[in-house]
Amino acid sequence: MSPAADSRQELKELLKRLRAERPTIVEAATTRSNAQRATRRVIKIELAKGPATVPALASACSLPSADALWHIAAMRKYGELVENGQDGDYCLYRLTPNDEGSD
Amino acid sequence: MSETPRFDALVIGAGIAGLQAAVDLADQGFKVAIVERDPSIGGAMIALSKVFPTLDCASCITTPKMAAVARHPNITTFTYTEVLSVGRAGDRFVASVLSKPRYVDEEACIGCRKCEYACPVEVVDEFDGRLGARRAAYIPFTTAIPQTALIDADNCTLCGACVRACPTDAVVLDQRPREWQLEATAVVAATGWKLTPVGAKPQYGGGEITNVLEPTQMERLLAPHGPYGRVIRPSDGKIPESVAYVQCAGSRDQTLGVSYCSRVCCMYAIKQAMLLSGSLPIADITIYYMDIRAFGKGYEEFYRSAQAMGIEFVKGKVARLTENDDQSVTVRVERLDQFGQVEERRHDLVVLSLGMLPGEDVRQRFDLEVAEDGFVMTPQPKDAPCRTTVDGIFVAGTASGPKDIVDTIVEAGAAATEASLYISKMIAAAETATAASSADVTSPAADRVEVKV
Ligand SMILES: Cc1cc2nc3c(=O)[nH]c(=O)nc-3n(C[C@H](O)[C@H](O)[C@H](O)COP(=O)(O)OP(=O)(O)OC[C@H]3O[C@@H](n4cnc5c(N)ncnc54)[C@H](O)[C@@H]3O)c2cc1C
Ligand code: SF4
Repeated sequence: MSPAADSRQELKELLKRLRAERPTIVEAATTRSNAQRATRRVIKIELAKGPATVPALASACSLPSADALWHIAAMRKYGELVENGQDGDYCLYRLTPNDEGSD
Repeated sequence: MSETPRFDALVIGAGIAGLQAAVDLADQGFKVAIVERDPSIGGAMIALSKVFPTLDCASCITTPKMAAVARHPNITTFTYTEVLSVGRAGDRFVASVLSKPRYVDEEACIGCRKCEYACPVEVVDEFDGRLGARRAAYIPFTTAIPQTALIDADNCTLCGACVRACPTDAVVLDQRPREWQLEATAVVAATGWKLTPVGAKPQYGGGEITNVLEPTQMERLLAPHGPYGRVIRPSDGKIPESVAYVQCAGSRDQTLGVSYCSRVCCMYAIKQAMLLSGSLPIADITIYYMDIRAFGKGYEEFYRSAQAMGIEFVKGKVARLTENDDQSVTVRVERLDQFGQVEERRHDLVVLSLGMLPGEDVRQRFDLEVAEDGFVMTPQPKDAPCRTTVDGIFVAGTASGPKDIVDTIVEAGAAATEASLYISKMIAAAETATAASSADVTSPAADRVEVKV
């Protein structure tokens, strides 16, 4: 086996061993992460239609508005989204070009 | 020879008090270990926006101090490491410490954040007042020292993305916690403060009203790299038209067991109100207060400028906060300046000016006596305010009681001076004993073991 394949195999075994050591924590973390990624997909589909405010996004995605804002904050931090002017008392957000239509 | 690393001084906590005490001791030639339980040094101050009364950027003051500690040849910094106990062993102190696993090799990590960008898991970010997000593999904040990643095992799905992304093979997912010991001649306890709980008063919503914030959350909203990049309300992102502060929300209140004044709340509320008038120029800002305590140099003038800027100060007792359907908050106040008349006003955001509690259980961990307020007891408050009930252990900053940054820094300098005199006395005593017995006994400073940062 090549050194790269060797280390891929080692990593696989390590992850397997650690999963067996802390199954409950990993399972709970995976469930949370999957739910969060599903929500993120819906948000991205909605934003791909055009800029939106937090309340508009929340209602389109059937999310509590505080949760929608949290996703907006996360996406802004990691460069997936930017502010795009204002609509009344609310900021509008739009996907950054790389993320438009993705997912 | 013992494997236990030895230092002249151990500084517990790397907030602004610990950083200042460590540098002051190290500049005098003493070998210092500074131990911080968080993944970065900097303490509470590094998360503040700007500081009263000068309105300097908090990070601009804290970051150089953090760098001075990290680079000092006489200081060894241990982060993500907690001091569990301190006990006396002859003329030294022995501290038991717990180094928590980062799951990242500190030597190998170059802080490139590739693990963070690859990580698919996002969780609530404590540094941003639980308002923003971070990944499960992360560097705590932009100016963190060390710039070393860590992996949050409670949220890690063991997908292996961080391992594959790291260019230096620094991710070590099977790291374990390590309990070890270190020895020091003197100790400076700079264990800081924590906020009184936001949910303590049911009449203020018991922590359940989304737009009732902790003051540290408002610090993050006002910070240039805050969670939303601007001040908006956490319930729905509305740009607030009206913000209120409720003073003494966690202090001077027998029912909460906090009868003392936390000293900084009036000033931080005025500071935040002034910063808000800058970032929300058309918003109404109200401070509900019983007394304004502007105790320091330039503080009264600071208060006056806030009044001149149009911030409304309402003297009254806030009886209740209730959430409305539009997620605004109604403040019910008994106006002391209008013969006790009861008034109700709506605000988009309300900040509770919470008080300070001790940041660590020093009685249990370090065998230090505490005063009635729970903070470290200083038996000679007038002539030696940094001495504790244990000879050789000194206290600095908010560990001995609520105080602002100016007083914290002054006290940290004083604690370093007291500790330095104590260490010198111990060295002299060891040398005298050596001379008397002609035995080959080394001084505390000379026989220390070099350890890696
Ligand atoms: C909302 C708010 C705004 C404020 N704004 C201002 C301002 O504008 N100007 C001003 O002058 N003051 C301000 N203050 C006050 C200021 O924050 C404090 O004066 C300052 O943070 C005190 O620093 P410290 O080092 O004593 O404590 P901390 O910053 O709390 O540092 C203590 C450190 O010790 C560590 N620690 C504790 N126990 C252990 C252990 N067992 N092992 C290892 N590490 C340990 C902690 O993790 C922490 O990092 C404000 C306070 C608040 C609440
Ligand atoms: S652990 Fe690796 S990928 Fe993550 S910041 Fe350090 S060097 Fe970069």
